[in-house]
Amino acid sequence: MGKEQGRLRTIRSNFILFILLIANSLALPSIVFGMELQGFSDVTYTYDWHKQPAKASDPNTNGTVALGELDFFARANLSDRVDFLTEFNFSADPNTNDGAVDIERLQIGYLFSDALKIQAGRFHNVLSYWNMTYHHGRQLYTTVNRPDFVHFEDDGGLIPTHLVGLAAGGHVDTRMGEFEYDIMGGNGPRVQNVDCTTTCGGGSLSPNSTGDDSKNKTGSFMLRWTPKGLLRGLGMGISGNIQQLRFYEADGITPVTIVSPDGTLTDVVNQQIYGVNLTYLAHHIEFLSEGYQFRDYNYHGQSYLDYVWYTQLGIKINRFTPYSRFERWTVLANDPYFVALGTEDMSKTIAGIRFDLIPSSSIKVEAQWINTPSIKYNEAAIQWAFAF
Amino acid sequence: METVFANSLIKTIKSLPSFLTKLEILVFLLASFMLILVGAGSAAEVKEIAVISSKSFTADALTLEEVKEIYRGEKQIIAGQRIKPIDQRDTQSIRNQFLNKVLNLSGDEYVTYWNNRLFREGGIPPIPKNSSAEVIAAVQETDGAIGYVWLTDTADSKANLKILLTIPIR
Repeated sequence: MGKEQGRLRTIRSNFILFILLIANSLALPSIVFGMELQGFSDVTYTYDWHKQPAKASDPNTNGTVALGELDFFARANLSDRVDFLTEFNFSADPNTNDGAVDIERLQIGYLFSDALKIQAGRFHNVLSYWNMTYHHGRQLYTTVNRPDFVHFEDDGGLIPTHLVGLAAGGHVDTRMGEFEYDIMGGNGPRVQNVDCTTTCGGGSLSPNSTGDDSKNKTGSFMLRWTPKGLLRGLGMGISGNIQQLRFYEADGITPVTIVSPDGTLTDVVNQQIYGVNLTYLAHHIEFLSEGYQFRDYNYHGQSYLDYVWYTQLGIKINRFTPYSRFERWTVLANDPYFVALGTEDMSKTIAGIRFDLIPSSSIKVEAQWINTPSIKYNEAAIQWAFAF
Repeated sequence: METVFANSLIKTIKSLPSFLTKLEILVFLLASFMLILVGAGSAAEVKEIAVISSKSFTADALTLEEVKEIYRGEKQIIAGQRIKPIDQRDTQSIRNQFLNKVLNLSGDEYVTYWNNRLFREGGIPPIPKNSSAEVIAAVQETDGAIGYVWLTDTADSKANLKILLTIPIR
């Protein structure tokens, strides 16, 4: 009883803390210490049903109102050529209600020309179009959530979404349209929180923001073409990421050997991820599609190919945008990377409608149908998202 | 009887040229009046937006496409100079005309566009000013600044400004 009361007190105090933070952020002037401060947040109600096996402790099966990430975004132009950008957010674990503050991005850059900007710091990885376009701003998404495989590393994502190091990027205008490129290099990620007590799983990517666990660095690139004229609104891109992964327990120090269902033991995975993206954003149509191939190699000469992709379509009709998205994962059961993450095949269909209350705030109502080999369930969500 | 008819005919014939002349004059005057009205009307409907900079700006002219890219934040540097676009407040009628004609966006869409762009990669958004006079002053005082005002508003400041592009608005 006393334990339960203590938990309720924690929930209440965290809830009050977040409400105060949101209220405080709304009262802040837009320029603080010479930096322009903006942000995003949301309140989302989620209800899961037909979840098998049902867990009484699963917040979503109980119907949960959750405070979204409180995301702050600050930028400053230190000179005509040097600029600074940072994004940090407050978020809470839905099971424990424990809060955390993360520096999501911290970038300092020098603009040589429209064709070249050099930056250093912590970035969103250019591998994914969604990751580079919407970041943490749920108000910017048409949908309630990101595609699942683009979730952030600590939220079950499959692709690296952050990178600490150096970046170069720019764009070149030609008669054929605009060519945009980005190249990044820096600390390679690790997989931590892996639990191999019975079967391996539970791992999550960590971008190694403050210390690399090996001498092997990671590299990412993206090349994108947006044509002009009749094809204006269309965008096509290719991207890639190369990295080496090691596996660790929850302490982040103790190495773990991954045991695949076929008995293969893996300590290190060399991973290549290649992707394509296709978008159309004009004439009130929003079409987004991304697909990725994972090529995972271990040191026993075994290689694994896995695929993830999504397609999303929305049509803006005045302030309403009905939308739909289909997402699919096809992963090999013995791929040590996905064994460590506890990932299995998945298909997910969502349909919803977004209403733009004002340009900086929207309400979304969405239904989801999730299907994996071990679990099938439906989910409904209502979200009020805003930017400030 | 014949004499009366003849006299009447002669009178009519004599009066005909003068009647035609009066009709012609009347038609001419009406037509002229209409032309003046139409001309004045079309002159009132066609206004021009001037894209301006200070005299020290590195470029002497910009294309419509370049202006579009500048106000979308895609072109940030011209001939080695960082460009600082100046905007008009949404209360100014010129802003909607400019956004519609040059960027093909509504005011709300433009705000959303910049919110997304700044969040994605930072940069310098167009700085809004309350009036054309403030835009002209900002352009004159700031290196690399460009702004847009009605062409007629530049009459008193032409000596200190470059007009980089004029955009007719109907």
